[in-house]
Formats: sequence, structure tokens, C-alpha cells
Amino acid sequence: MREKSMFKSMIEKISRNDLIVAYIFLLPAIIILFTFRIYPAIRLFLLSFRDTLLIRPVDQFIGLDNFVRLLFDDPRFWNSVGNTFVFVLISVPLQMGLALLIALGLKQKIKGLPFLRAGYFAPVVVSMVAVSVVWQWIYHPNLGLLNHMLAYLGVSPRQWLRNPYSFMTPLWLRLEPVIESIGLNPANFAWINISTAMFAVIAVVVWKGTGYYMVIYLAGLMDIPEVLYEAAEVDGASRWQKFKNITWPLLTPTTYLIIILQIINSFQVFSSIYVMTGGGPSRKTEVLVYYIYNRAFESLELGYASAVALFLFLLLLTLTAIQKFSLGSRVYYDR
Amino acid sequence: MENRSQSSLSAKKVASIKAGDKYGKYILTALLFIGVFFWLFPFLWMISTALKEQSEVFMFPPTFIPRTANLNAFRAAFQSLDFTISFTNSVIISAGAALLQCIICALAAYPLARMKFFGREVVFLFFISTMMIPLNVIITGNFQVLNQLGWIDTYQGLIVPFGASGLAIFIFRQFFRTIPMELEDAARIDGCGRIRFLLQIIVPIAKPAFAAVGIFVWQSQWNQFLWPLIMTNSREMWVIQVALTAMTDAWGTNHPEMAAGAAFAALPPLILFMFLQKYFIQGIARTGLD
Repeated sequence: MREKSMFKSMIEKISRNDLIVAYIFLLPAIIILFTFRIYPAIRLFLLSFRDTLLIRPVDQFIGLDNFVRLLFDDPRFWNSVGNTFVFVLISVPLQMGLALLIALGLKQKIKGLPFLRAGYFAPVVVSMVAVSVVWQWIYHPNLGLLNHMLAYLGVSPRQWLRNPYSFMTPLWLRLEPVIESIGLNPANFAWINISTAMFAVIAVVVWKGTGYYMVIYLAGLMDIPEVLYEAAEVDGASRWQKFKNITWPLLTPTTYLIIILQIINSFQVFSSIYVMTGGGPSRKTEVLVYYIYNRAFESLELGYASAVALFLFLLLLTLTAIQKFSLGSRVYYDR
Repeated sequence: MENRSQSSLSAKKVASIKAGDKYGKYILTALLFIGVFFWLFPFLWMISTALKEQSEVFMFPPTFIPRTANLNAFRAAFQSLDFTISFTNSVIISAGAALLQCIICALAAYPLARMKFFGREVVFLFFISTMMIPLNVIITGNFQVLNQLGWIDTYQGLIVPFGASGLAIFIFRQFFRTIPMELEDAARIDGCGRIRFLLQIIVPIAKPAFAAVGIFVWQSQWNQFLWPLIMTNSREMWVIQVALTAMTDAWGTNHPEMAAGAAFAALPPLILFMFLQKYFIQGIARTGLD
């Protein structure tokens, strides 16, 4: 009896100190995350209403001027928005399809699986800068491996990273007068004329990122019960039928996760563009983060760059919130 | 009788499908191996170019296996002073951030996982919400913060901001929760303090979580580019990724040295990945995040 009450008072004594101990443990993480995540986000918000230059002592509140300029007087902004969407809309489905295809192949119990999986995953762990440097000279017009290879097939050498035109150009030339005739500024729609350089950059980004999504798909595929396939085989289902009626529907949660992750990552594309094209040729690969970087740290307009960043920030916040809070609750095994 | 013939028919059917599968499997395996060769080709090409002499780069047709393979380009890249400094900087910064993040996030995760106190849910929600802020996008705000702290062009400016992350706290918390509460109660009664319990019991049990977080932070810091590009000015503070882009311009068309530089930037994570594959792959498959 006495022992029990002693035990109880001991526990109570310990838990009274718990509050202080807990917050001492939490404090370093709270300070760091507040100082380098929350507070800078607030600073970004405040900066976007100011005319602040990086080096010269100009720093004043200008209300909504930055946003007015952004929306109505900055074709470069709309160009970068268009390029970013082009980048996202092409790279996301390509990467997803390729990741699924490789994952489906690796799911069959084949020999050398660990090696193959590691091989397809390897580009993921390497820095974008290093692989961009390597690809830059694979794409090199005179010395590049790609043009050498194509020469064997009888294809004439091309400018991969410096060509502002592509097969989209004829379409654009037809579209341009139509846009003008409706009374819109064709300059705001020039992103439709996707450049060869953009396709070349997308190829590298897709190559580098696919392994990451492949691993997530592989995990999703492993969760599908083998019994379902066996039952379908006995019923004489073809490969395609099995994929269409079992694999794809049961993968919807995985696919949903992958699409959201991809979109969030692709909207932030920067290093590959910085190294391989520098936003060129003639700003045809200038995406939003590159534009923010350029405005803030080359034109030194910290305030205006923040307004552009706020636009991207709110866009990404919405997408991330969708991922965090609705994931799994809505997409389930319905067809 | 009828029943039996039916079952043998379906057995035959399954057998014929299985046989078809066998050929299909060989073709598939071959395709996947050819695919992985092309997939890894840029890395092979990088190594091959780094082993060549400058003159061989211009040869037509291009050679895959260098005629006079040598390490001259590696030596030249490493002897270039900037490169040695930036390589060392990258080692310090990525290891520092990994270590710091492991310590600070494990400390923070411990009370979240194993103690009851006022405001626990609010603090946890705060940590989770920081995961929704993309660092690349708030870079102008962060530049001002670092500027105010006087941390531009310093090691602490490259390490301390990465000393904590919502994801690491989340991973540690999940892991710590699996350690039975009775173990802790018993230890506490015997006079074992919180910190001692954390160090002597939780840390050894949670080794896999520490390995996963440490490797991920190390790798992402090694590969980071935009942050060090903006937050450093002097050559003494360059990290390897920044030095590599600068040297690409400086070297012009000296491809072997460029390739050797790229290899120095690319190989550490690749080698680590070869030995610690399961931590990389399981980490992604489980959390879906890096």
C-alpha cells in the first residue's frame, strides 16, 4: 500500500516537470523552423508590397503596384507562367507513364531485379547540376554524342539547347494572327510555340526523375493481392484486361500521390534550366523559379521578384494542401 | 467425368499461359537490361570522357573506351584550388546538416511521441505545416533573413537552416512511438532521466530511422544548388555544385576536366547509394517524400 502511493507521487513529480522538459526538447526545432520557414514566408509576403532593391538603398511601400505590373504590364511573367505550365503538362504524364511502364516490368519476378531497380533509380540520387553538365555536352551541336548517333541514322545535326523553334512552330504561325484578330496580345501566348530546347530539357528532367516515381509505383504494385491475377488468369483474361481491370484501378491512390508530388516538384524546376539553357534561347525556357531568381539576384529587384514568388507560393500551397489533407480520403478503389 | 475434363482443361490453359509467360519473361528481361544500359549511359559516358585526353574528345567517330585511359583530368580537376575547397565545403556542409538535423529532430520528436503535455497537438501541427512551404520559392524572404543575421557567405548560413525539417520530426516520431511505454516507465522508476533514456535506449533502437534521415539529408544537401548559389559570394564558400557551374564556363571546352568535375559531384551520392540502397528506396516507398 505504502509502496503504491510512493510510486504514484513519484510519477506525479515527474509529469509536473514534463511540460518544461518537453518544450526544452522542442525549442531548437521550433526556433529553426520558425526562423527559416515561417518567418521568411511572412517576409516574402511583406516584400511583395514593396519596392525593394537588393543593393541600392531603395525600400518603400508601394501597395499593390507590383501586382498590377505583374498582371498587366509584364509579358516576361506571362511567358514564364506559360513555359512552366508547358513544362509541367509535358513532363508529368511522360514521367508517370515511363515510371509505371518500368515498374510493371520490374514487378514480374525477373532475374537481376535488384540491379535493374538500382540502375533505373540511380539518376535520382545524383545532383541535377552534375547530370545537366553531362547532358549539356551530349547535346553539344558539334561534339555531342547525340548528333553523332543521329548521323549514323542519316539525320542531320541539330541545335538541341539553342533552338527556339520546333514542330510546334508551324502551328503557332497559323495561330498567331487568329489570336491577334480576337484582340489579344500574341506575345502573351508565345509559349505555345514550344522550343526544341524545352523538349531537350524536359527529356533530361524526365530521365532523372522517373526512378523516384518508379519506386513508389513498385510499392503500390506489391500491395495488389496476387490472388486477383490468378483468378483472372483462370478466367482467361488477357494481359491488357488484367491491367485495365485490376492493376490500374487498384493503383489509383498511388497514381494520385505521384501526380501531386510530380506537379509540386515540376513547378519548382530550376537547376536544369540554369545549367543547360539559362532560360534561353530568347527566354523560351524561362520558367517561374528561374524568373524569380533572375529578377531578384540579377536585376536586383527583390520586391518585384517576391510578388512573382508569392504567386507561385500560393499555387504550390494549394496543391500541397490538397495532397496533405485529401489524399486517400477521396481516391479509392472505385472505377 | 465431366468435372474432371473441365478441370484438366483449365489446368492446360494455365500451363499454356505459363509457357507463354516464360518466353515473354525472357524478352522482358532483355528489354529491361537494354533499357538500363541506355539509362545509365550518361554516367558511363561521363566516366569515359573523364578518362580521355582532350584530343580524343574531338575524334570522329567518338570512342567509347578511351584509347589512353588515364587519371590526368581527375588530377587536374582536384589540383585546381577552387575545386578542392568546394569539395571540402560540400563535405562539411552536408555532413553538418545531416548531423544537426538528426539531433534536433530526434530531440523534438521524443516529447511528441512519448510525453503528454499542454500544446502537443498544436506544436505537431506547426511542424507538419512547415512541410508545405517550398524553400526554393521563399528564397527572397530567406535572403533577407540571412542578411539580417549576417549569415550570408558563412557555414552557418548553409547548415543551420537545414537543422530541422517537418519530415524528419515526423519520421522520428513514428519510430519512437513503436518503442513500448513500459520500458520507459521501468527505466524512469529506476532513476533514469529523460536524456539518458533517449541516448541509451531510444537511439540504439531507432538506428534505422537515424540512418534513413541522415542519408536523406546528407544527399539532398550535397545536391543542393539554388540555396548556396544565392547565399554565398566568395570562392572560399562555394560548394561543389556551384563550383561546377562556374568551372563549366572557365574550362570552356576542356571536356575531360569538366567530366572529372561532374564525376566528383556525382559519385559520392552514387557510391553511398550502392552500399545503402535499401535506405534510399524504402524511405521513398514508405513516406512518398524525400
